[in-house]
Amino acid sequence: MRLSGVPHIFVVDYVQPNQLAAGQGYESIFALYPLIIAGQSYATGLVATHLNTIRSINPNIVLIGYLDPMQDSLPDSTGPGYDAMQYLEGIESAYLHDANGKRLLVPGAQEVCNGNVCNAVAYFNPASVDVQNAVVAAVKVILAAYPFDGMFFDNYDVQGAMLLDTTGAQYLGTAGQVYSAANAATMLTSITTLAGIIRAAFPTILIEANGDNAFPLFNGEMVELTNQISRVPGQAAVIPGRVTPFIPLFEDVPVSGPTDPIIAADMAYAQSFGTWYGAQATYEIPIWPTAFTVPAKMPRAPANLVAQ
Amino acid sequence: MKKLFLPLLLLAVASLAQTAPNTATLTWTAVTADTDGSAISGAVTYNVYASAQGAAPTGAPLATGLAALSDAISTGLADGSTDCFNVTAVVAGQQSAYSNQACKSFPAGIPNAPTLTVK
Repeated sequence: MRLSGVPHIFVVDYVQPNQLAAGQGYESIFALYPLIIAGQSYATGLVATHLNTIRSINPNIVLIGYLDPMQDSLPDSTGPGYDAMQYLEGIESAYLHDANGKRLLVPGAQEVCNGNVCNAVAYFNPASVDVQNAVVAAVKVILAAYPFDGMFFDNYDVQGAMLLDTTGAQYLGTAGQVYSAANAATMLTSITTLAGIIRAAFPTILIEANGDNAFPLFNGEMVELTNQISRVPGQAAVIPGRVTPFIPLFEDVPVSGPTDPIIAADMAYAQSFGTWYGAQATYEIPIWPTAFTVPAKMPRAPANLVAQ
Repeated sequence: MKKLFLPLLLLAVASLAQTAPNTATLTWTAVTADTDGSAISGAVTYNVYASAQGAAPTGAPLATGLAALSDAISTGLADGSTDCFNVTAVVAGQQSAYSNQACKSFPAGIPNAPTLTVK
């Protein structure tokens, strides 16, 4: 209901705990938006204060938390959500493997370093009961720790490198390599089943996924980068059983900053399909592009509140 | 010796009087202008929120659509607690930022009088 009648724009909150500690939370800029996708952090107090400050400026704002449930990109830190997921690191069956039992790694992912120990990022297995339980547990503690209205699941789709080729090796799209269609179908079923488990555990929250697939039990999916904008019409099409509110997202990265003409053009195109538009010119510094309309004026806050 | 029972009876009556629900009566001043300084022409209603001390509200409002500039909260206010509140103004579906926070503390309850039995 808070998202009805508001401009279809959103922002991703990339602000880091060290910025929050330095007073660089940019809360007044974030509060201009009706919808925020926040980052996950172990810095509970700082982040909770940051989010509460944003909400105190804009009580109508909708805040969505972050989790990367399909990839072991977990830092060694403890904190909301991490504890529940780190449990999986002692369970080998929680990971995807090739035919030789070797973990499937995320191509090009930056290694996660804890102290002097660095580990490649591996894929979790969505069909693993341990993974399913851990994701639900992680969401539960994240929602308890922060004032979130929902969750954003990064990398929530069937990626090629999650699959095996016809010889049982990891499919990396190299010349002549053919992925197993049966494996792909099984993986999509597994990840769709997990979506249903998550929705059953949290029936009323907003859930957004970042990826190429569409899950009707989620409220929408995100498409990223202007070279992917041709996917917006298909992504914005309503599919049978889609829960409401339906919130398809498109995230731009305009390289020329908040006045980049790509913002107005991409926003008009995305919003013509009902898709919500977000623009991030510089990570960790939110912008309010000049192409965005000024928020509607609102009444002043009541004053002199007394409790007797 | 039986005179001793009268004070005990009075204590028991006093204890019963403490069981009335705790109440916080909130008052605030009217909102007459928008954030840009222009006068509000439509009807103004108010929402009341609970909040943790020193923090912004996070949950659904305790009351909505209030036309008056006061509200009495009498549920969920436990003995020994400090309960805090914020108010927002709503005009034509646009909600204001939160008001200042106001808190009220409720003293710990007085224990019931012991039961004295004479054998």
